[in-house]
Amino acid sequence: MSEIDDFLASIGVIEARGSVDDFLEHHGVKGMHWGVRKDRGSGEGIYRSQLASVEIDPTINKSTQAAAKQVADLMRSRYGYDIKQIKAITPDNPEYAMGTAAYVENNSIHGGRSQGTIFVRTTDLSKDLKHGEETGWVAPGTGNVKAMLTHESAHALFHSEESLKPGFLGPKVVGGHIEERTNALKAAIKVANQTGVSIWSTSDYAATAGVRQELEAELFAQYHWADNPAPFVVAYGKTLSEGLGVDATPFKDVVK
Amino acid sequence: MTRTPGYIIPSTFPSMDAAVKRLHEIDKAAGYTSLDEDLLHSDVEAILESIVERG
Repeated sequence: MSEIDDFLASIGVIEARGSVDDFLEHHGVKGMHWGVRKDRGSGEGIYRSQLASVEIDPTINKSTQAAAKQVADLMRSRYGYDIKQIKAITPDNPEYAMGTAAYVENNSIHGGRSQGTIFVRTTDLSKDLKHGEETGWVAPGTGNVKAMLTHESAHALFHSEESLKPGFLGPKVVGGHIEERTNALKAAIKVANQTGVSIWSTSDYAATAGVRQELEAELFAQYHWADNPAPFVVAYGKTLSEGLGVDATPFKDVVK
Repeated sequence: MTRTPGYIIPSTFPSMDAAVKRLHEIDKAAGYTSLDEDLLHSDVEAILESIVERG
């Protein structure tokens, strides 16, 4: 077990067993399409490129193209969110004037599988994203295009299949893995409290927004790309992965 | 949801205030919710569902 696994087990977030990865078996959650499972024999997650199936606008900055294709590939293979196209935010798009750096448009549902298009600015965003990291807007290791697109893809994965149904207190959210996400958030809050930090210390992005959904997107992006994610971020990522029945290997360890 | 609210990079805005204002606007438009209220709501719903199921 890693030190973080030991810590999470000691406070009851995960059960004490060989390693959290040892019980991340594929449970075949209904409606999900898990593509890549961890090959425990290799000791590293498998990264199978499916890049040929992604259409990309050639006017987009080359490094942004590469990052976008990689995130599309990872989101599809790990979570079943199928990003088919990567398009440019051009001046005729209203988002251009609004300053939006990137977003994901949910296109359609094919056999229960979410499908989206990434929209991203054509210019090199690396300096501005790095500046955001240096000023605490986002965590170390997440001031880059991959983490930005992972943040937006998390929104798409989580919210594209949400709906409302009547509850005792009014409308309540169903779908979009809401129960697994809530469990992951509670695990993160528990660890944050145990370690004497606020869950809102995740990032200034999350704290400034002050809403659940941005916090989740930041936790998701940090779990996958941050240099040294806080224990509560690790608790979030591992609990979410366990709940969804997917490989818990952070993306940064899969692609390195 | 038909699209995500969009990612905000403060240095691409005229000021930090403008970036924060835009972030709040897009999250409000997306219907995003307070964490505390959301978790409390789901906990109370779960308790009430449990009571109803038990009759």
